[in-house]
Amino acid sequence: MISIIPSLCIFTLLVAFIAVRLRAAGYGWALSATLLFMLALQLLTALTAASFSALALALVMSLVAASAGSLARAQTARRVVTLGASLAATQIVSPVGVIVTAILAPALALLRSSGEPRIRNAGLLVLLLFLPVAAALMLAYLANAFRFDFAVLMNGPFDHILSARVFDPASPGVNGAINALALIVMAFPVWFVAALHRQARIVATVTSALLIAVVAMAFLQRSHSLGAFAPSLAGLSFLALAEAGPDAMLPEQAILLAAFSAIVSWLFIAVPV
Amino acid sequence: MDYALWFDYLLPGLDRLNIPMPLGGTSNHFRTDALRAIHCWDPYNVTEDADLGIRLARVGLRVRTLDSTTFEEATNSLGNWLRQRSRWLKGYMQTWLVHMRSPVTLVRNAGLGGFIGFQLFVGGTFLSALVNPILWAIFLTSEIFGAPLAGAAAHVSILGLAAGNGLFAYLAMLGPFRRGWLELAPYGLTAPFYWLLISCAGARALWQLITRPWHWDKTAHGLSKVCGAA
Repeated sequence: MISIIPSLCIFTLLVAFIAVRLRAAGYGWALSATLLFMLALQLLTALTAASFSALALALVMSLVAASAGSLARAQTARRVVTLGASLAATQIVSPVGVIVTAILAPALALLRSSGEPRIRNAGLLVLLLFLPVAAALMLAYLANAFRFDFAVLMNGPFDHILSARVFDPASPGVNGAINALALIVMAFPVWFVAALHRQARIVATVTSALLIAVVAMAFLQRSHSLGAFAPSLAGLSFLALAEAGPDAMLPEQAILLAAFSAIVSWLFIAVPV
Repeated sequence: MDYALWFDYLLPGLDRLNIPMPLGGTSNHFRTDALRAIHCWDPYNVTEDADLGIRLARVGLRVRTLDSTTFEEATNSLGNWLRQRSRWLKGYMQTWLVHMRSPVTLVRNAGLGGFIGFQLFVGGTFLSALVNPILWAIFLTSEIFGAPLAGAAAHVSILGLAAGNGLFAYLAMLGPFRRGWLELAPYGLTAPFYWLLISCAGARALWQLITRPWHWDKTAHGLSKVCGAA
């Protein structure tokens, strides 16, 4: 069972990671601090779910998006390893990791090497899939040999402190579809920034893969509450802002987007319909 | 793929970490005064270049990698490849035995990092080749006949076997990446079979070390149909 400290560590790591990305992109101190406040507010939606797993998934998805963006800019072995390791981490922190990887790895291999011979795409694909597949096999082995379940291990004292769950109909498929619709709205900053700026399109691809995975998991009877994914959307939204850079929009626009994302997340999760 | 991993990643890595470099390949450039100062090379060592790299480090001289490429012919027949690899592994065994005559002096000369790097890159190369078939045999015996290994030992062995082979396969796949030869990456998945062949070469090397220590198993050249740089 996870104690309080690891959850706080993940929370701090994620905020620090986004802070570094915002500062590296050229955002000023005041604007960065305001955006990070909104991020923290949105990350607290994890308290309505299994908080450690939700925060861990958010951190890992942000790492996936950041490393996929780096790989799209330039192909180096280090970037391939970083992306592969991030995708492997998604297998460990959440069952959606399998679907996210199955969508994202081929998409990234094709996006990066479009126009290249198929055999070269296959080479990149095999490289990207190697670590996630190895991680999935290791998890399967541990589960089979020791009945070891990471999901149980990642339960923590912050889980479901806030019990609000609005969308929870009996049908898992409907639940997943409604969750996905809500998540699409929450991720509005990602779509908005990606529509305007090419650099943020990889973040949009990662977000789309996550949303598809949420629906697919629901159909596989592994439905999750919105709070399990809202922190991931938060991380990806702010990463999209960082990818686009401060020159992409006015500071007020960036703050509005961030505020929209945080407020809508809490509305969907906490306000009864 | 083997050469790309060695020359593009591992040797520059040793260079960056300032770890003694077992030299090899067709392009090594020396300052003759440095070479004379260490009394040139050991003519009895069948990988005299690897030995030379360690000896240069032991007298405090630094070996660096240059950002240039010398293409050479890769062996393309199994017999030729086995002869070449068994000579290399025998040379590594000789180099390790020579420098480990006085481990304390080696630590003093090369530093602790250099000593550990020497154990991993020279000792580890031939030791892993020799140990690999033993581990496979233990694994297969326990799977087929039920367990000389049981409980935790079995799990540790299986995870070790999978992690070792997996890591080597992944490194082999990454090897050609810097040169953009991505089409070669899937072949890295055959690394466990490659390692079985390396083990054959290792066993041959050990036998030759005992029976014909200074015999030079020549590699036949000019067999490849592909000539010139890619």
